[in-house]
Amino acid sequence: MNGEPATTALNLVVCPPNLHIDEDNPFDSLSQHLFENRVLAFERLNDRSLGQSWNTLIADLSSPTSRFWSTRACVEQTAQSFGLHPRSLQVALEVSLRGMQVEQELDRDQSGAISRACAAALVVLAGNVPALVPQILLPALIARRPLIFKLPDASAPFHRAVLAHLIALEPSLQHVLAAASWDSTESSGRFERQLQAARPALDPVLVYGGKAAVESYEQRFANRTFHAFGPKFSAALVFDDGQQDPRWPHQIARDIALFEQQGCLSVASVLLVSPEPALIERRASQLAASLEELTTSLPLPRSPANAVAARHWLDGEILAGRTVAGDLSTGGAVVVTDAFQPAPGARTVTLVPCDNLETAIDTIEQLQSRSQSIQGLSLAGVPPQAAAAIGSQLATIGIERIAPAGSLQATDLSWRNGGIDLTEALAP
Amino acid sequence: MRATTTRISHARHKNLSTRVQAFVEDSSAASFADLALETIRIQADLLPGYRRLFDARCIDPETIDSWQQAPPIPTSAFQQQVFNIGGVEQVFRSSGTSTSGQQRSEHHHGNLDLYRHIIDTSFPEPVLGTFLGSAPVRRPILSLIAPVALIPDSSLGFMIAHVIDRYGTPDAAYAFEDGVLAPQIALDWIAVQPQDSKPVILATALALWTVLEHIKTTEPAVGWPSSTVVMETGGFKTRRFEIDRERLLRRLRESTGVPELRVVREYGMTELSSQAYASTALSLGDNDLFKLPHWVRARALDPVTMQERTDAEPGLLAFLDLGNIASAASIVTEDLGIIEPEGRAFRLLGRAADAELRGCSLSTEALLGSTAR
Repeated sequence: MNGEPATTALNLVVCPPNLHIDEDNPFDSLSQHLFENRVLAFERLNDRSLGQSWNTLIADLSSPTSRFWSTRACVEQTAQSFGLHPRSLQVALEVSLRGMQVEQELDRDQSGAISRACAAALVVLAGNVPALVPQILLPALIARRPLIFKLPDASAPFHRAVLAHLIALEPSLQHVLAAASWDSTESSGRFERQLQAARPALDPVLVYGGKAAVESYEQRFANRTFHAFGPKFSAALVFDDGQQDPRWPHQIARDIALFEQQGCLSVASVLLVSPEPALIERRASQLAASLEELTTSLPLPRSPANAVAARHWLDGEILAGRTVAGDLSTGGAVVVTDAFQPAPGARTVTLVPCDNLETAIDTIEQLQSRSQSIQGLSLAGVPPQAAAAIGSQLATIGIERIAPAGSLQATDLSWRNGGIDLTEALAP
Repeated sequence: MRATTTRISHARHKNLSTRVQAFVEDSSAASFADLALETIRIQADLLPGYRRLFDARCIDPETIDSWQQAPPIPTSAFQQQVFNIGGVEQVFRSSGTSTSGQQRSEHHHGNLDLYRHIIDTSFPEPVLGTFLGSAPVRRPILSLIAPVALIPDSSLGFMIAHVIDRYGTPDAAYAFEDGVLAPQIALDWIAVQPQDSKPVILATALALWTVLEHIKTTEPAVGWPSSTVVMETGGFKTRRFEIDRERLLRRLRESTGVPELRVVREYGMTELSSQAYASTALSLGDNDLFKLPHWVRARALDPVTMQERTDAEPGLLAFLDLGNIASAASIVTEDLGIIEPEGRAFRLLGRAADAELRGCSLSTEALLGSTAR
């Protein structure tokens, strides 16, 4: 398709004011500006004021009645762009950002010395959950690292609003933050090449998204420090001795439904350890019932992400004779299977019976060693001592996020997505 | 008791197959709704697992009063299970390689005579411009789609071979050399076709684009006969090379002189026995509207509720194809579309997976493969 005229335009959704952009090399102008202004912009920042501004941003994003939602972003449009129901978007943001508040001062990490020259980092979001930008911004601010975001076109308005809100609270950040988006058609290759050719070079490069996007960027930015995030899924590990009316189905239903399984911390498979094999089908039904109940507080979007794939998978499992509880139309479905693999989404989950905890851990380790595809683990009913041991054991194979059922997606700055300490990765 | 019931169902199935074949030949021979409902009931009885899909939806196939009430089988299930009644004559497999990580769909076809008959009943009008019942014609046909020897289990390969055999003149050819598409062979073949010979080019969008790209390297560019007809298929089926159709048609017009109104689109897949066609002539100037033969109906379904979309809303395309009498007649695809009244035509919007939102969670691509044929 080379040689054809470009049909799409670069959309610089966040750009330093009065900056002359060379249309042939837009990222040259941007990266140069961010490089030159880093020291001045961050020197102007007061640690205490930055901490307060940050906390205001997080509080505003988490509250449906805040100025952010009344003036900068529309809940309905934002929810639609992320494939969520408006009410579920608010709940998911509140849960996932709760841990992002900081102490009063936003101390600069010592490694992020302001006087040192440093280029902007490039952050590519190929299509993600709304809490991701704050999760990247916070370590970048601590490291005092300028950022250029490449945003997915559909959700660019929300991300722009977040960055604009932060810049309004801390105006000097306007010289160290930028964001661009473009329609992902053939001519997008032109912008990708311009990003690659920017001088000073954008480094490091952080890419969030699917396998194809990650591989493609990794190839093109081979000479930079490269960090890939995704694609991964999370699982739940449940020990159930058959007690009456267990709470875990409700808790894990939340871990499944939050963000409609579009994030890597969403639960897509449950390993159920139970001494009573007869319990499995009953628990599958209870989990499906909990998913149905949850549609009251976390309503389903009109068109759930991956519903087509989920429908094909679910009906295929029924045809194959597996036990299935619930349905997409009732709020989610549970498929009992021996294959430990993620369900495709739209609040579906696989339920894998295991004889004992050792077998369950072995199953997790085997999949992780094959695919490195597990991000986190939600735990229920596991005795505290065993939980601690499981945590240490799984951390060695890259599963760093282990949390009690119902709180897997409530992360804080200490969470190392994919085992990477972002503050360290973004330090100059 | 069960063995007796199955024997009766097999006998009914044989009788039904005969009536379906007659209906394909003559639409007044029976009612589509009656044949479809009878097909559904027999397949619910004889196809392993299909009954479970009814049970999961709390539907009794014996008490439903229309074929639309039956759950369709997902095309992706053809990757895992065999759907066949009465014996397999040929296994068609979707394209894909063992290294792509995608499983291939398998259609265990049980009635190749019916398959050929379907091609003969639906291909000539849109592509050759002849009407059903008129004298058979032969045309110079060039295939940019590989011969059966190279793709022995492809349903598209089977169809092309039959079309060339049945409708091609002696100089009909495949533009292939050493197992790969040879654009220069295509251009040389076209160059010797007389202006009024009505040559037919059979191509995937990708193959056509490859030839058009090759034209750029040849001098001088020679226009194709003004009577050329291009049958294009599979535009949505390749993820690695998504082609903007408008650009393809523009390039075709500029490079060869063949206008859009002489391009016929074909829609088919491994899991279907029948094909739909869209052309300016066929659809009264609307070449985005795929028309179905009288033995197929389409619906657009909501993937969550599996209810039929109304008011021309986009949905998941589902087909009842009586040509699949020996496999699975009611199927739901991974394509999105909008249905015209009565389900006799549809507009294709593309693959649902390409339209769905994705985050950084593990994508479903590893779980669900392509159904390209």
